[in-house]
Amino acid sequence: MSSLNSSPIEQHPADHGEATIVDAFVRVAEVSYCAYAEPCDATRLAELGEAWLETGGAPTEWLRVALHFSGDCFGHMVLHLPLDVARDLVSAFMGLMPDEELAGEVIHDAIGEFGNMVCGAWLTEAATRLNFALKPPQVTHEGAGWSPVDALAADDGEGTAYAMAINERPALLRVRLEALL
Amino acid sequence: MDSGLTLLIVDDSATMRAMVKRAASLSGVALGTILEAANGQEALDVLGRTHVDAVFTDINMPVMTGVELLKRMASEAKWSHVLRVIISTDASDVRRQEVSDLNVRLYVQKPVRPEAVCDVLSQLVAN
Repeated sequence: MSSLNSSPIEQHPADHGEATIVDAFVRVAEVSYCAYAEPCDATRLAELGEAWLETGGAPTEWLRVALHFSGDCFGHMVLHLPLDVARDLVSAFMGLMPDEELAGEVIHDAIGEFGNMVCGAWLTEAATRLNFALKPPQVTHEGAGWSPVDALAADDGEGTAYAMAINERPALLRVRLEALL
Repeated sequence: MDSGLTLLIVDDSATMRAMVKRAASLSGVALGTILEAANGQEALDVLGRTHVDAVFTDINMPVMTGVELLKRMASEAKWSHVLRVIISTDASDVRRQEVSDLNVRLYVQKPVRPEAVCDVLSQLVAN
């Protein structure tokens, strides 16, 4: 049996465990969704949101993607993405023109798969010698007024938070990973 | 009558199946029918009624996982001819070891570019 990977996963010497989620997010965005992603801080996260509004963008609707996993390691990943970004990612993933209409269930399925890939790539790197099983992703619309900046600062039990920029728009990753020793 | 490869794509994500199907169609490899299944049990149902040359399967799926599907295929001589490829986010050492004796030809880790799907098909046909 041989392996075929599109490109090697970047590794930072100091990154272990939860921090490798950032690498996984960047890689999945680039490889399968033709998007540019990078980590950022709270200031940048706020600036990205404000810049969108200043250029005439509508108030952001947010998608929440949650994945739970169990086995020798267990926990969850929660990803928040703007709905407009999700549409663009899905179009790129499916090779569609940017202005093609997309049904809601198609967006949910494809963004769920995005989350699935990020979580799977992360766990393969962070917990490769542990047995884990990913549950199907759950995609929901976040309530009105949800703010990534507020969520980044909140201690709401969702786990360690990582602010991300994807195609110059804000996104938020939160993860919790525990291993049975 | 189709003379090309009959391919079965197994993944619980409809959009992932669509992407792989599209990439396969653009690969230049002579393909006959491209079939789809949303989990391992549906795949077995397809295999039971249709001649399939190659299976591309995910691992983590509801109802029946890709590993369970491959174990069922390995236990039946009638499917010994079927080329098996895993396309999954789970490429852990544990999982690779689990499928190491299930006649898997290639193990492809997601995320994948469409070009990688084309490369996989080309490799299967060449060998």
